[in-house]
Amino acid sequence: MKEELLTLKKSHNQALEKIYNEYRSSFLQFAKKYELDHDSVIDVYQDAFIALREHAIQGKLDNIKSSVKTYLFSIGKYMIYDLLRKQKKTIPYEHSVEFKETADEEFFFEEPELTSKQQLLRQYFKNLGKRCQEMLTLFYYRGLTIDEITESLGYENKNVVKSQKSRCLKSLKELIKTPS
Amino acid sequence: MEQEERIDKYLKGELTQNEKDQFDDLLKNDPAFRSDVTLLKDLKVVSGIEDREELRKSMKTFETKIDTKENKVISLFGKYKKILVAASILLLVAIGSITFLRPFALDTNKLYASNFEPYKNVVTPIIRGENTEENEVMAFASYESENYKLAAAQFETLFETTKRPYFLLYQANALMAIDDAKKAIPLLEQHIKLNDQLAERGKWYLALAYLKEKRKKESIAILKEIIQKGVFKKGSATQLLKVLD
Repeated sequence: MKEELLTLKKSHNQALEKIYNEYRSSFLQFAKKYELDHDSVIDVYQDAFIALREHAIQGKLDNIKSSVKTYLFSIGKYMIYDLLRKQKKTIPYEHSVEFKETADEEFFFEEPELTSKQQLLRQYFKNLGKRCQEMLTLFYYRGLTIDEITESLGYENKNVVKSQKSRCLKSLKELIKTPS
Repeated sequence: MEQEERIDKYLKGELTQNEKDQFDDLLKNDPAFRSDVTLLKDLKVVSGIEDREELRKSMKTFETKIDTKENKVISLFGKYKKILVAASILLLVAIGSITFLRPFALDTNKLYASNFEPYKNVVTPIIRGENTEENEVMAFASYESENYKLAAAQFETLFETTKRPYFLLYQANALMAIDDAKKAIPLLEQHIKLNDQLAERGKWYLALAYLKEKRKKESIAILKEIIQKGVFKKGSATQLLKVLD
């Protein structure tokens, strides 16, 4: 479970395939009892997975007592109820009690609304090289340390990473100053 | 301490009290510093959005992979169940006859016949839609209607024009279906070298083609590779190897 958590926090997105696949079929099984088509269930599962990863990065999973799977399913269940409610379908009574219990802000994740400044920054960010985007994402969003990035991206030593990161920031600032 | 490092430490919550005071001071009095802090905070938000976007894309590819696999497994399985049962019975007979009747001479032809079944068309169903090339459809139509001689010629032309490795595999299979394993061997060897996603399938047919041509040692070597990889036909390969070894 420790390892799973580390993968969620630090690994490249493609590396999450194993975890994604591991819980997918039991989630589909679990969702069968609700009136939802396959595609909606997959959508819910993916949203829940995104939220799970987000919570892992924010450190919310560091001290949980349940397993990652249970946590993921709680999010998923909440999202299913939310979807059923939006579709005006009934939630069985025995679940409605549960729903009220789990209808907690903490399970929810919504993409933030960007200010216009942030939207511009997003465009400039996308204009950076892939290597720079990756580096800045790992450091600022994922919260990896310089040492971890050195290892993860296979750099020679941390000084290279440090100067590379500064250079990436500089390029970004230049893009902001003189947009092409 | 450099400004960048200072802000990084702040974002990670690693400033000491003393450093924090300095930070607040700079934030108040230095507009450039202030805008840097905002920039890096925004960068955290923006790179997060992009990272999640990426994860969504990755999950789509996970799903596509599962879809193709499930479709393949279902269609291959239905067909293979019967073949596997038949193959194991034949193998038992083969093992029996080898052990009791002809302890040393191994009838590689029979083994070949009991194991070979032209590889089903898994290519056009997968990429149909994006590929409407008439020739390809025609070639697979010949192949599926067991007009192997024509299919082999059509696949040959297709490989020459498109260079897609899987045409080699199907040309070889068509040839093997009309008992021309000799011609199939170089094609399969080339197919495996090109290492496309059907390469492991190619190995199985190459092992059979070698067998047919009585190149037992080479056949065994390939079978061992198949078993080690364990992706395709591991069971059949293990059984066949037992008989050969």
